[in-house]
Amino acid sequence: MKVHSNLKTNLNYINDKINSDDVATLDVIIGDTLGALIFAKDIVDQTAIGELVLKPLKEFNGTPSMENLDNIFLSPEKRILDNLDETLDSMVNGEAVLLVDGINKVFSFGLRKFEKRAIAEPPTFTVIKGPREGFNESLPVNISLMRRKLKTTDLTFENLKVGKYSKTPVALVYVKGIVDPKLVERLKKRIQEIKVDAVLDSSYITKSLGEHKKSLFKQVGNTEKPDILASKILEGRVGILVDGSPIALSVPYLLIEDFQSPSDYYSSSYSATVSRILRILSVVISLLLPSFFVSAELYHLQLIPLSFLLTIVNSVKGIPLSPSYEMFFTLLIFEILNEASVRMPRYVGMVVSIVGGLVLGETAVTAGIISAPTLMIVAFSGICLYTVPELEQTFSVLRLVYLIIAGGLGAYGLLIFSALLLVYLVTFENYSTPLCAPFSPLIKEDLNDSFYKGFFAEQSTTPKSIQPNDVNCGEDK
Amino acid sequence: MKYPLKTRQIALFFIAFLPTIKFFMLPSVLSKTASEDMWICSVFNLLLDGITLSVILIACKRYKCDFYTLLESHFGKTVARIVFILYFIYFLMKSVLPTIEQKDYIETTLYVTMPNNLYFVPFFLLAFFIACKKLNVIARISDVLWIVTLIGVVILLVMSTSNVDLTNVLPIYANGTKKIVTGSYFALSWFGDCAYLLFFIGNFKWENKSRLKITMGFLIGAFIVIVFMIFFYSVFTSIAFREQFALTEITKYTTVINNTGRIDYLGIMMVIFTDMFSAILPYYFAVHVLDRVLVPKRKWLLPLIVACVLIIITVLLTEFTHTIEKFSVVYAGWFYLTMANVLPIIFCLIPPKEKYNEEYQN
Amino acid sequence: MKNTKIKIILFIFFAVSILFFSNNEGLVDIEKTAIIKAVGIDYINGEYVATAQIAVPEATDTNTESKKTEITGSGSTVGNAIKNVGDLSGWYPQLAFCNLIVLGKSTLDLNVIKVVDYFSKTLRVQDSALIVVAEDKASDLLKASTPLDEVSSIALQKKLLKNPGFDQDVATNDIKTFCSGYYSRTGSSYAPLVRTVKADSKTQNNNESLTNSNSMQGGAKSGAQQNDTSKQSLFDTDTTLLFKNGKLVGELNKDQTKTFNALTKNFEATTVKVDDVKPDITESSHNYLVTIMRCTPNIKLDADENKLDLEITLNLYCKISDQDAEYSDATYTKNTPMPQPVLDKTQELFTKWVNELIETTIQTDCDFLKIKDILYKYHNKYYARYKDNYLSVMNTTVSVKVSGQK
Repeated sequence: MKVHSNLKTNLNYINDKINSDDVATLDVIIGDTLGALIFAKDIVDQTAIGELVLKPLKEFNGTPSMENLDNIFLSPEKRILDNLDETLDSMVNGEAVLLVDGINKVFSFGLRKFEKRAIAEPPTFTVIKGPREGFNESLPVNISLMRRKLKTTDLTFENLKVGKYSKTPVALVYVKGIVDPKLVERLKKRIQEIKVDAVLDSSYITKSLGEHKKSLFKQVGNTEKPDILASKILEGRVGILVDGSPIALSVPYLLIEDFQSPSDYYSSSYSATVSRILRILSVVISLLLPSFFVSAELYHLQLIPLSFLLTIVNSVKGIPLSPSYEMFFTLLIFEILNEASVRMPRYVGMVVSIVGGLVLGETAVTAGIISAPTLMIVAFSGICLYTVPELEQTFSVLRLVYLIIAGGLGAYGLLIFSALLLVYLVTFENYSTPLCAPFSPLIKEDLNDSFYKGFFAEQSTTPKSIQPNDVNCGEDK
Repeated sequence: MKYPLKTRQIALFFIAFLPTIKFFMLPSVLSKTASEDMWICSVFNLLLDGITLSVILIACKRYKCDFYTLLESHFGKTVARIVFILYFIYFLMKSVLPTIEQKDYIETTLYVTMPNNLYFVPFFLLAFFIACKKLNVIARISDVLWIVTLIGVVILLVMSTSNVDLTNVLPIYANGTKKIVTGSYFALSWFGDCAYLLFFIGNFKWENKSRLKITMGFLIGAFIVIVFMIFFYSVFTSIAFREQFALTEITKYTTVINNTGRIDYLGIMMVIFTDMFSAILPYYFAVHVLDRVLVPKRKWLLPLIVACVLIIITVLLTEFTHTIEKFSVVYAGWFYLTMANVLPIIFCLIPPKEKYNEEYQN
Repeated sequence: MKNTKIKIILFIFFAVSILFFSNNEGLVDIEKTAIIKAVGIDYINGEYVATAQIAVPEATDTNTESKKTEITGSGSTVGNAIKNVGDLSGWYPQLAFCNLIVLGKSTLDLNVIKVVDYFSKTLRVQDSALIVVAEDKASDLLKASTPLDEVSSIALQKKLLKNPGFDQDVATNDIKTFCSGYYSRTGSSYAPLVRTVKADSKTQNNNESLTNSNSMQGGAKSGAQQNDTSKQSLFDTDTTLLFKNGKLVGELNKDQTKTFNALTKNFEATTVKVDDVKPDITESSHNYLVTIMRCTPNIKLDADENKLDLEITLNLYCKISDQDAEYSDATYTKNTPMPQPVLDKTQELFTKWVNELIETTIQTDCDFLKIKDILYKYHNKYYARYKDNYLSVMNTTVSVKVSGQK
């Protein structure tokens, strides 16, 4: 509805639309004319209202008109609105609005004052060397962190709003000249098409950004650290910052990203390469060790060295469960403990680890419910998976699938499933970017920062895996 | 125009898929026929394939359209269809032997007890899944698998070196041409990999070094095959023909196995892994060529039907396995030779027609 | 189509889950598996008798050492006899870990390939398993108690497997090599003969201490074994049996076996007793223990229309390990020069042994030096001419050169 020149009419409309105790309406007299300042009092800086809006109004002596009033306010963020619905939106977004009788426009002052968390080291991305600052829940703070990292005019933020009720501000961040403009357009379109009631965290957007809705695999990268996001957008990706979420998203996503730890870039190439190979190896071990062990026990005893086989036969004597059941239930217990330790308050979490790790494990072996090798393998597999925490959820599901296949079909089943997985992954594309690049399609230049990490001098170029043109996706144009 | 393949990927295709399929029954079949000259049989087959490859590469350079369009522009639609149906039969027949080999191998060596036929059905699931994908799936898989093949082969060869006595393949050419030719003839169903290249025509961009890259890929694949054959015969000599599954046999005499168990299975598993794809390749191309002729609306229908046919031949008709093997090795050789070598050479040497020039050169 | 895909995936997953949870498709219960470490084959009353030495794991608090048990089965074929072992015990015979095949004396009356072929053909047994012949029954050999290990087959393998100081004196052979010899042009194979030797009193004392130390590790299990030391045996594997077309045709003694190894294997750090040598004219005779440090053999065949010449060259590099003469300061150091008379005597010994080998080859027609293969590989042109009479027409030259520190 258009703003009416009659103050009372406007106030009636506003009161009809919003009737909440945290909204304050302050009557002001401007010369001989009545006015009303309306704001949500808990999200507006009231001192600033007094200094930047009310004080100039008190000192104003002229006739209140658009032209006269326009120049007296000291608030740096000021907008003139002519629509009452828009006025309401800006008000609930932390702006103070001024309505003046006889004027069919509204002054809106951006004087927000949200409570926000201090910038701290994110718990999910701790590093020994390198920057420790992380994003917090405030979009402006996160934008400022990005600006501080990349002092270039090419760094661009595009603001969007998502959520029918939350109207959450979402910012696309990218570096002009590096990013593929078509990618930005596709992302904008996709974000605008998101139909949800509210976006309370960036994960709400993650689900809608993936092109394969039912895929088990990640399709959007995420980070809590501005240095990582800065490096990703310098590689041609688009970052997505969501107000209210400390986790920034990045698109397109490559599987190798999660094997690249932030500390790799702040340590020597040699140690980073060793760490990276260890991470890849750990994930493979974690995925395959329980299933391979079960398949060897059930179908292929010849694959186990004799002395170890004798140890196994010793340890499984008297165990009531078959090897596959035993491994399945031990893994299940591990997952339950994992779930419990994440959800529980910290002080209880300690108890869970002690009870789970020591009491459950030790007594289960002593009581003859599970065998020691199985327990050791599950524990080792669990630890291995945490070398790449970002993929933990995906791979723990895969580990269970592998186990069921191993128990049902043996090693050949494992090979077949691995082949299926391989075909699926190498043909998986998101935003025209192959998930498995730079391995498949093989992009020689990008191998430099894949399973090994080359020297910085060699990494000055933007990776071809995520560049816009199809030439870089391995196939010719 | 966007191409599904890159020259590099075709080169890696030969490294990834050419060798492993020849590591199972073939060495035993060749040893039975040509004894110490068995590796020369492979050289003959590879030479034949090499000649075919070089001729097909001429066509790859010359034509920008795919093989079907090429046939259509030269001989008309009907001939193109007939040729493609012949190739469908060829690929279907060619996929039977590797599938049976893999099934036998898995049943005999990997499982302690004889598993149910059900265990092999997932193989067709994988085949179906791959066949539903476009040609670029082959390229993408090649990008990854070549290194798996190389590592697997290196593990096998290194672990077998302690038992290799290269003088066992002496004297060279002792058994005469007849036995070598017979061996090569029997081996035809395992060779003829260059026929796949026919269906890559027009699907990749010809570059300056395309010929060199693809030939190098082929030569590396061929080298691996020859070295494996020589190593195999050097290890087993007079009992080589009895070693039905060369793959698991060649490594187990290394001393380290006495101490650590069968760690050679690491290499064997790698080779089986790539062999699964190699065995699926003919099936994939069978579906691919039939799809080009029939152009069905439901893309999954043909892979499903062809997979069912293969399941019937390889899994359900187990009592005819010997007959099928004998037919493939002894009687079908001429058909394989014609389809994999003769026809490609004839088709690729025909100069471009005016109709083609009008459509593609301008 | 998308939903159909998900349904298909779910169906497949469901099917595999049924296989997983039903747990009964082709799997082997690990506890019902008999891990066979060695198999002995005898031929008694027209039947093959297989004795399987099975590892029985035995857990204690501190040790998971395995014990063993022997189970015997019989049948009309070797495969049948082994299957019978499983039938009688209720265990599934897992042969993948079988590293030793023992042929009983009774099998030598047959063509031994009838026995060995089963192990060569089946993929369930590794044909890298070692093959030996027992002086009597294979079952007795496997049941023998030995101070070397709780499991006799493992004790035997310690002598057979590559182990400096042992393997040079044993002509170790495995199934694959045995069969490839049988099926080769020569038709010749060999296998070591195992004789059990009663441990003497001195050895028994040593063994007791060995057993005691084991019992400390393994708990109180070896008490009974200590009382039984008088029945314990050691294994003598120095003699090699020669087979032609699967039939026993002769044997090589300890020195000939050593020389055979010198000519066919990479031979290092073995010792030879060189007795009764006068290092100097003025001195009396002494006995020496000479260690062969390096050995370079070469078997060369020259052929033309009229003659076939075999030239065997053996270059040995030795040092003195021990002597019964008093060590002087000069002879005590590591690089003491070898006295010429010792070198000469060593050379004389090896020349004699090589000649004996050739003699045995001709007498038994067992071409264990693979001379026929050399003829085929390098003189293929004359193969047809000499293949039937090469042993009788060839002129042999033996040249042994022994050198030492100068």
